[in-house]
Amino acid sequence: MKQNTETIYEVDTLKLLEPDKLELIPEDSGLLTLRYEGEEWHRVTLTRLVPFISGTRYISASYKNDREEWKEIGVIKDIDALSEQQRKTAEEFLDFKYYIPIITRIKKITDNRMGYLFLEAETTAGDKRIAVNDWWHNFRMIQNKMISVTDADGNRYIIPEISKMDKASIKRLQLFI
Amino acid sequence: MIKYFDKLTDAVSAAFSARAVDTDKLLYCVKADMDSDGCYFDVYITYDSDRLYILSGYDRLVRNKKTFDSAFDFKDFAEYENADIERLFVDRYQYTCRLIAKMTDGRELPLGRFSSGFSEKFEQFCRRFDCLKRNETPDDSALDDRHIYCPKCQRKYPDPNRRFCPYCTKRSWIFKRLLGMFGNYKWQMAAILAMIFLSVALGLISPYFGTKLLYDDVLSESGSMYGQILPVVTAMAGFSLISTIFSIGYGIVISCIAPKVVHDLRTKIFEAMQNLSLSFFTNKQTGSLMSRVDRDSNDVYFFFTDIMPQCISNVIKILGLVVLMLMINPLIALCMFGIAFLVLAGEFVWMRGQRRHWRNRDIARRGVNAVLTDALNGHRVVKAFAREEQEIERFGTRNDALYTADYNRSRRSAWFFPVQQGVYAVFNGLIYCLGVFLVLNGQLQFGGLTLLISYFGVIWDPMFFFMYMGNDWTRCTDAAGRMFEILDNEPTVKEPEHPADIPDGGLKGNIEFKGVTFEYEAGRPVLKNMSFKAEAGKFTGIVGKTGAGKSTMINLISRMYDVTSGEILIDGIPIKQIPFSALRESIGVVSQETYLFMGTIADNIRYARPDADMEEVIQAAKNANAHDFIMQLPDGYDTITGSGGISLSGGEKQRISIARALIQKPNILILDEATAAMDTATERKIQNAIDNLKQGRTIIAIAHRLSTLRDADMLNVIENGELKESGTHDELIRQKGAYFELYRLQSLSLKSIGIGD
Repeated sequence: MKQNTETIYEVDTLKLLEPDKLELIPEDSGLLTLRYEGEEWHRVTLTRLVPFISGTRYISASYKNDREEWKEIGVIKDIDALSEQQRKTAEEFLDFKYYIPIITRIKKITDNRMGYLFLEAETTAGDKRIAVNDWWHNFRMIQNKMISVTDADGNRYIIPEISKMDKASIKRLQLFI
Repeated sequence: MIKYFDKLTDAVSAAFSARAVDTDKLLYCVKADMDSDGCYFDVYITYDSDRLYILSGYDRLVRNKKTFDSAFDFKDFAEYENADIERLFVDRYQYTCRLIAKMTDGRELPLGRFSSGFSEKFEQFCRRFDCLKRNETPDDSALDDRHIYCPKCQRKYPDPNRRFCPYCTKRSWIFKRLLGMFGNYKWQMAAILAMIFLSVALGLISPYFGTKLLYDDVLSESGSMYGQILPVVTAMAGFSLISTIFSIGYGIVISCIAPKVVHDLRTKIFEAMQNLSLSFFTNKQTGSLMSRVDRDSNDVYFFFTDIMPQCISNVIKILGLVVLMLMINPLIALCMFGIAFLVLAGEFVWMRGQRRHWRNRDIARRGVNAVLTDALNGHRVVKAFAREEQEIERFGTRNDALYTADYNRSRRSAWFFPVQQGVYAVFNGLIYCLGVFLVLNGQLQFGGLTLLISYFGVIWDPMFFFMYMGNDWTRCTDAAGRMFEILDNEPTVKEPEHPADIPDGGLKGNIEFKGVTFEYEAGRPVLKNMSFKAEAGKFTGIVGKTGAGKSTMINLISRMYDVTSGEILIDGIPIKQIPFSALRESIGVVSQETYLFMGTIADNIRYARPDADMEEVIQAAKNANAHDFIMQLPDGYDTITGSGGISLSGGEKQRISIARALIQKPNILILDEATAAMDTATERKIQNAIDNLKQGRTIIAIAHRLSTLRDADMLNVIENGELKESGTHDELIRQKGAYFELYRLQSLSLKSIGIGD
């Protein structure tokens, strides 16, 4: 009886995974296998819990159960604490999962198309003409230094640090941030 | 021939043909926008009945005199036998996705990488490939209604439900469309133009009497009208008076027409909003929609009543002044134009910089307002956690930012205007010197000089007007553009073109789901291939955890959305063929979200059937167990609810909402957690009321508390969008499956808090 009641009201707690007990193995599916304290999970994904603050700290490891629900195995406090090989595996996975074109230069901004803003930009993925609808909502300043841009198709771009852009780009951006 | 999803340009078709692909036999095509490293790349993935082809390279446009031709820089080509592919699926990451082919030998081959915004078309592409594998014909009817490409520039519309292309549409197009709305008032518009012209022309002639004629002909002994002051003063006053009368005249005509046009526009928008599908409202913020009816229409109104007449009048004024000034003395006139140009150029440069400061101020002001709204709306939480100091600090930070933005903006203005005035004064002085020099040399009369100076004073207003008019023009066209967005938006759920005949008495309520899949977002099905039946006149319960898809089923039965695949039938008629009026009349919904409109409680109860008499209203309220609390209110059934009215508790609102559904006497009554906000005793009473209504009525109910569904004729257990079990309460308990588990857990949790057996 008591046990059942506990099952219903089982409180979820933060489980920090100890770096030296943890093993990540890449799978063909693109996901990972995680071994920890004698247990093994397949089709594991890593998630950045604070992606804008840190790309390497507080990384959640989770898997999909039989009911297709994501279940967290635990949280890696800092992947820098993993062994060299493990860190590389985690970083490669996260870099691929969180890949986003970074805007490096703004060549021109046109703001005259009935709610649409056109950015002619250089990105790490190549040159791109980005159409942004309703820029007030899709051109968001994060933490006073980063800009997240969502285009009319729903694709995302990022400027990680505005102050590091060239002066002309900053000047063009300033009217919209 | 490819119709969906991405078109093959001529160059790409040629590239496929060069690799022995018959493009006429290709079925569907998608274009991925990245290579495996995430660099922009054009990858065409397509298939025919036998093979899947992948062509990669770079699309280019090559200028050919006045037109553009497509070109394609080929990089790679691959093809696979369809027979070797088990299925295609989209592998989603945070901001990008991959199209993967699961091969029959178990391998997973990445076929292309793309930005996540394109995932919907890839999901649809995969689904169609699956159909091909199963030898089924895919249903493209939902795609046929969508407008994907702009017919003019061939680029994709950002929003397929709105035929608006921001790439090739010019801002003036909106203005022309807006002007078209004045088409019914052609004569009035002609009268306005004539009156503006006369008013301005007479206004320009008027100073001539007070300056040139007065000094050179009336006050000068050698003048042709020496000493005749009265006729000159009369003419001056007369011209000014007639000019003012015309000005008042066009103002009156405009103030009659413009509100009418804006009124019509507002009405059209509101009507258009009422016809839009639920998905439009869930994608937009209510505040933003409200501002379209309210603020945007005001912007348009202001532009037409204020800015447009000024614009026309100022064009005439400037042209008139230029001609008149050049006629009086070209040298001084040109010098004056030169000064005007310098002053305006200086102000233009200053204004461009100032825009940034205004924008900064606007952002800072919004920041202050956001903290203010946050702290005031959440004041209970602030007080409960004793966070007043932190909130003051948070507000202080934002307020400081606003102060800095204000200070920077004002400081810039503080030095600019005196400098501008100083420069203007110096140049003005020089022109006066030149004028005096010409007068002394007899090249210009004194009256001519004073008239020029007088005209020079008049020319500033229209010039500054045009400099700042851009903002008003932008605001008006933006506002009109947003309003037209609603007018042009096409509902995703449409009235049937060929509606089925519905027998008198409406739909009985035999509801059937046949392999229904539904996605709010592509690739994330909320309902998966669901099939079940609810018989007419029976009580069907739907059970499942939060997020299982129960409310979605209700939305689909009342056709708030259309299914992604599969079919829903009511009385054997496909739901898409049932006219909206017949569907809505036959279905009454009581949902978790209750909303009471402005008006009396009686009006709210009879909302769905305004002709219901007072006895029916009271009867419905009694059935819904609302009568007792309504009669306790000082104004009874005449109590005003909604905005500005009395505030009712969640349970009270819910009971009015149930009464509203009951008075409609629908054949199908849907209860979506209708009694969730009530205490057990009230719930029991309403349950009894609902039991009374069961006779001859189809009831579909969703409830978390399984006890409320115990008497259901049929229970359907939903889990992750799939139908897990069906049966009566006793049957499902005996099965010891998902329902049994849910029931056991609920009983245990009730026992643990001292409720239940």
